[in-house]
Amino acid sequence: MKGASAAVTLGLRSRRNSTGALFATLVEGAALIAAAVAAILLAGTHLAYEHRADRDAARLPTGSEEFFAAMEPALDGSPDQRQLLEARARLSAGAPFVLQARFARLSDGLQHSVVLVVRQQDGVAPPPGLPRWPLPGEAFLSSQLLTDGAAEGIATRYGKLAGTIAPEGLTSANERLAYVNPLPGSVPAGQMVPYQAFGGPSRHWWDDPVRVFGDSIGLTPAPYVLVLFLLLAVLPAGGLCLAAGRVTAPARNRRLVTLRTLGASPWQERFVQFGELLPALVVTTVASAGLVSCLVTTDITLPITGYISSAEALRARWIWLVVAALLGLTGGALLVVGRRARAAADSTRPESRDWKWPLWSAFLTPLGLVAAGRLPDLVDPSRRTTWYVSYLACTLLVLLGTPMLLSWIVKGTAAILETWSAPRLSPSLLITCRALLRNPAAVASPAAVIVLSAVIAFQGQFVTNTLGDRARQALAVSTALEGRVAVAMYFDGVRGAQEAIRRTPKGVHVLLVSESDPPEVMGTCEALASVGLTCPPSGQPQIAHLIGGDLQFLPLSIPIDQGTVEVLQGDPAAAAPRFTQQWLVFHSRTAINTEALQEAVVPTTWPNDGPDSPGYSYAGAGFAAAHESTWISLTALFALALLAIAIGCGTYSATLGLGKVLAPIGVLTARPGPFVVAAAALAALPTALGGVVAGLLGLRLTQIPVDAGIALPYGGTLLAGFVGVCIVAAAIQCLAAAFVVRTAAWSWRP
Amino acid sequence: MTSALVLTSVAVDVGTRRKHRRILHNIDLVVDAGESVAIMGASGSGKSTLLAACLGLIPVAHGTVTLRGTDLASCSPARLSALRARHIGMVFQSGELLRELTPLENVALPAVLNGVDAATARSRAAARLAAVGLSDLGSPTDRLSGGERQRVALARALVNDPSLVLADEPTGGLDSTTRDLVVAGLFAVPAATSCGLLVATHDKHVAARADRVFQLSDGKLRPLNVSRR
Repeated sequence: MKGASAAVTLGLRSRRNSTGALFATLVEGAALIAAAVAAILLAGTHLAYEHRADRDAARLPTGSEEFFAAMEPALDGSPDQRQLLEARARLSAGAPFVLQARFARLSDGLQHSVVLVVRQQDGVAPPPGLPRWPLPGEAFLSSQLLTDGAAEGIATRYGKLAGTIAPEGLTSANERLAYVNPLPGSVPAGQMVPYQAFGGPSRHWWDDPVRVFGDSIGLTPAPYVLVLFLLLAVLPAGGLCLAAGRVTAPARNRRLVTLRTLGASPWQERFVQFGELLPALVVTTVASAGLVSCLVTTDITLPITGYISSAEALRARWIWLVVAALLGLTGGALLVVGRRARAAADSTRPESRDWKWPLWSAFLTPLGLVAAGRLPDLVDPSRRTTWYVSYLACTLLVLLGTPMLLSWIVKGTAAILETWSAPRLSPSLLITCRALLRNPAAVASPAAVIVLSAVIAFQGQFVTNTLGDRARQALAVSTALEGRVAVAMYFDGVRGAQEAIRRTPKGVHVLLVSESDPPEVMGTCEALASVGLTCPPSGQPQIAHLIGGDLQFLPLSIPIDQGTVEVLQGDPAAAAPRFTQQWLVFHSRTAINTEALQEAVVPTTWPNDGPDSPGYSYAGAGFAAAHESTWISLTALFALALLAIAIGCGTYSATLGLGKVLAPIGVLTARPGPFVVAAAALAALPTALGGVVAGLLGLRLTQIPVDAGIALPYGGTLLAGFVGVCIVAAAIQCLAAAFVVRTAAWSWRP
Repeated sequence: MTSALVLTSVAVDVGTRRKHRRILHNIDLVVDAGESVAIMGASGSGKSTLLAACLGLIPVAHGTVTLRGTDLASCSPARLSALRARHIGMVFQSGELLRELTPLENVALPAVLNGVDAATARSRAAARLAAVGLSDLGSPTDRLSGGERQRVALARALVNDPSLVLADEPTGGLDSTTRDLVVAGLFAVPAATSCGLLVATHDKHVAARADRVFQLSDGKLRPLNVSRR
């Protein structure tokens, strides 16, 4: 290209010699690195995270056509448990291997998947990630499970440790998984599902990956994460690039106009622009290369989510990370330059626009908030669709009214303060108030962007935290019981149950509950009385209704017709085995130490689940959803940080202009203090106001579904992080503005 | 007669310590109280630099700048600021008014910042504005004409009763009628308040109103006419 190198050099030199060159380079560098990081994260997540879907499919057990045909009656919608068990038992005998997956918990609450596998034929490939089939009484554990459960002897809980599961058998490096071959007879034959092989066509999947390997426990679906990254990382990064282009535009537009006047071709103009961007591009390219190197050489644990980015998974596809970085940098550079060209065309645009909102517009947000607050009284939360639509309508009203409300807040507050300060001739207040009255949009617009982004992020967290009906019920019961009850299930395991009763810590009563029709509840008079049941005479069962009391959770776990149970007086430890499936209910007048109980009783429940809060398996999905919301927290904080930088750049640029105006009078009157205060206040106001309003609105709007019982209690990570970002950003803007105005005063000359 | 400003053998360098260029050479100038002095010169001749030296904003390489008997080089930054605030009024080419404040508030601002109470500052500002022919104080600063802005700037420069008023191209960009109006107000100051006036300009019509006129070229100051006094 003719004159290309000269044009690039011209751009580079003009940038180097221009005033505010460092600031412009910093702004553009921040935007470009944000774009590159967002692109790398998106690609890295896709490569390492999405690839786990392949690994998940490869390890999913597939059944035979015969099995599916036998199971058809059970799939028709009215599964007959007895028929299912019989068919399973019949087919299991000839199947290559049988398998059952369960979830278990460590004492600190961390869940993990336990896959029971028994090979029945030779020549069948072992599960992916295992060098061989585990022998009876042997277990293969993932490294993460070994680490997390080291303190409570997880290595030997499921049998002799045969080795660790290789990465190709895990969906992510932080998956907690165990493959166990139980000792013969420890698992009822009917409980194991016959399978043909691991991996295969999805039509042969008997269960989905979520139910087999507990994908929902601590592992968030890939499309969800990718969409989050796209919305909360890539888009804000693009926004930052646009903002950077706008901030740095005025200083360089003059050069562009001069070049055009001198007859420079469009290509020459672009090369000059490229030369101006070159310092930022060089720095960000080096930084991007460093990030890519880190990702392919080190396992990086992402903050908040705890997700481990696997270097091994990324190493094989490193070229795509490089491509992503280049695309991010190129896209970011084009956005910066594109904005500048448009800004040149808009140079005649007035500096400020007065927002002339009608007065009623100030009441839209309060109206939406009041309506949302009344929702629990007006709409039954069990009518979920109606409730959601009503809540969404209220939230939209709140969001629509936010810019106008902020504008009115800014205008109103400024007018009041101006009225107060005008007779007193208080310079800092007067200048601040008049500047706000003159152009409230300068504060209201960025504050509104902060509020809208934050509220949308909070709403995302609310949607993710929403519970299903069973989970909500389980959570409500669990909360009402205040930890006084724990349950454990036993299959054909009366001996185990009796052993568990002997091991139960003192002060904890035990009841034996059978899955009969109606269910039997057996216990000593003291134990029965502790859960609010009347003790019947020995040998004379009595019918009782579970209304209130500490056994109200039972319908969550056992099919109970109209809450009716048969109460028997007796010692569960001495009861003869009468039912296949039984529950032990541990009850105490105060909260049970679940960890101590688990430690004592788990060996007796194996291979079944250990004692746990009633209904936890239902609530578990809700807790997993709460984990998913950590991805929202992470990406939202990233987005908010970018937003803060964008707003900071804008206010810094505006402060530069203000500093130049205030410098002469500040120097000549020897009192720059009031002007510094005014500039600092104007710089920090958008973030501070946006932060306060967003915090209040976000908290209120997310509390409503929590109060209605359809979302988990708000964790607060996002809110705390958001407020933290706003405080830090406002403080930085304040200091930067003060510094700029002081510097402008020091360097002012007539 | 007391001298408002005395420059003795002043030389000013620009650039870095290693690589610098002398742009003002041996400047000797006295501005007495009640006297007006005009400095003429082409653009880039060093007029604004000379004013900056008078304000103590740039160090002099040689010589002394004395304001009401105080050598600026011997003052601490705080003392220098106090001297400027109390004894110097400045009129800029574009007025440099704060658009957020009304004309009256702009004029009152230096007095308030100097510790004068709001009510006194207001009345003093109103009097200064009236003295320069402005009494309608309701219009926003943005809507003032160029001449009005300069007269507000002049009123602001005078509000603290300074010993010396410096004006840097005060009529630049004004039409001849407005220029005459501003110049009349400006040159009425020394007689009315007994302060010294130093005007940097390239406009002969402005310079013609001064008691003494100097030409600044090649970094040297040369008298152009004899005092009219």
